[in-house]
Amino acid sequence: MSRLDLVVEETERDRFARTSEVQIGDKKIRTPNFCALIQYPWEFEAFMGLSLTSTATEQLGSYVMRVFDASDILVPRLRIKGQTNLMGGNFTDELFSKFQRQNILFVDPALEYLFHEFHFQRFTKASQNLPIHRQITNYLNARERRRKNSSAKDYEKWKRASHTSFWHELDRNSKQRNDMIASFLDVELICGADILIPPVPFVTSEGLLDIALRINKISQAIATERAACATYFLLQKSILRHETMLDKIINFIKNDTNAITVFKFKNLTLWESGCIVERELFGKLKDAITEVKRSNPKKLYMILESSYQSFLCGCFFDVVSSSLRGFDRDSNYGQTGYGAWFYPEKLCHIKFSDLPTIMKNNGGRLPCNCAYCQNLTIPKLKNMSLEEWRDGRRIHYTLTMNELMKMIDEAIRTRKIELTREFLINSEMRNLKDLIPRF
Amino acid sequence: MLSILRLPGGRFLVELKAPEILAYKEVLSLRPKDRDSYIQGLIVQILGMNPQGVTVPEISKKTRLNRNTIAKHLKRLVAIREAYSLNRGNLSIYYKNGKVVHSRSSEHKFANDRFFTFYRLENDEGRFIYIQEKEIDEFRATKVKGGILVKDEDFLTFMRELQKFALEVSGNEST
Repeated sequence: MSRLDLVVEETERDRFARTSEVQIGDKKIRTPNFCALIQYPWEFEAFMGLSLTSTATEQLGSYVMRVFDASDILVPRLRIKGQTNLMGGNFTDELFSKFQRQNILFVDPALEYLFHEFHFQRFTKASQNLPIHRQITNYLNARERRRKNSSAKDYEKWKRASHTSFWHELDRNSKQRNDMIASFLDVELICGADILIPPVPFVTSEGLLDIALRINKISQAIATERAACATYFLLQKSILRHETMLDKIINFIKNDTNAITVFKFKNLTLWESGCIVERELFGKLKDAITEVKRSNPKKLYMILESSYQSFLCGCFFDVVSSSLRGFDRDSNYGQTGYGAWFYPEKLCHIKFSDLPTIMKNNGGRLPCNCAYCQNLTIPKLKNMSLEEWRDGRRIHYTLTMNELMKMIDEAIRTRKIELTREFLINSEMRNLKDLIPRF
Repeated sequence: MLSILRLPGGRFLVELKAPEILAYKEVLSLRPKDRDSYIQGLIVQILGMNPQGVTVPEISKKTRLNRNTIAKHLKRLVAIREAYSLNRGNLSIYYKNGKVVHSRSSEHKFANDRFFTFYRLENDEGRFIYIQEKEIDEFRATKVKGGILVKDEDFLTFMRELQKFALEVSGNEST
């Protein structure tokens, strides 16, 4: 009776889709829910401000942070919160405390960055703030050294082999592996996570999938007294070309007793014309999820970094997550200049330079009903500073995702879920339409 | 044989239900703190799944865990009132302490990050008020540190006695 359990109540159902209410302790969310991936301090400020002041947040209420982002954004705030001031009272950040009490937090171990290089240094920096397991930091340092000292071609070959052998060695030494799992779960708790996510490897092969399955089981055992713990699959996009591996995952989730299952397909681009096999196998996965949810409505499914697939995933997954920019690709990371605007009807991004033309053709306004875009005029847009636009387009994206999730919710309530298919057909994501059944 | 002693009336054939259990090797390789909380969680789950009651040998047989370890955890669960035991001769049978009907955590955090959760429990012997003392540890996980269980009808008397005691103590200190 010490840990807070996740309670899922299905409220409405229309064929394959459903709405539900999810509760953990005093925190409640409605599904389909948009879970914002927060990567920067300004994103956190914008999201916190929005969730505390705006009324258009029915389908929000959860957010996810990668462990190294949480170390920069949340840990300093949490430390200040626990300190005592000279007058004998506590330092309190009322807004942050209120936000924390209302929103469900997931902290993603993000161990795909043991394979991809984008955040090596941030991971190492985070280990100064948080007790990240030594095996992980040692491996990152070794990788960084190798990257600096060898040619790009050699490094690419070595990287894949070293990633696989690192996980296999860790798995062979059960004491070290269990230590690593426990230390990651502790790190997530330090960051204030409500639901724990196991530190599974980035699955690129069958061997790594077996390790991921094992780590999921052990994480459940270790988290028993800590908090609710999810089953987590962190998968390379190419897994959607291997039916046997996908069958293994489906088999696992069918027999899994855990209440919440989280998927992350790294750099998933199902809308691209060449991804026919991937789309078919993704369809198989969503059918399996629908079947499990039908037989056990207490189960919750979540997808991370769903990018342009967010609207589609909202029909099958209960919680859908994507970054506040709407892009979930590391290759675009760190670009400067005025970022693109998410076009709600087209479900894709439009260049900032094209916005004045679009506004001119739309009576001087952007074709979006969100509170932020309604206040935007052409002169305002032209005089906007980089920082203002940076925050603004994130607020717009969050409000848009809330609207899109509300649209799915409404379609389920009125028993017209097929309308989501129509919406996809009229967008730039029409390649995804066949994933939504007609009947 | 033990089952016959414990459950007359044809219920002795009930097999002990248990959740999926980690391999013994894996349990051993957990950190001592994690191993303890895993075993305790497992025992709580087993108690919950077996309302007919369980004994130490039964759990040991099912989980392959040492009897002393199981007995230690069961004693702790009884001490914090998450479980209760009934003695039949030399045999102790353990039961989960009823179904939670209602629960509420205290909003006020007391010294050393401690707080209380109030439960209303229901079991064969009636309704109870169950107060758990909890602590938030260094990793912000909640740990149960103690508990007290009072029968519904005795609760007002209990509160009066507690109040009397508090007045008595504060009176003594002021003089």
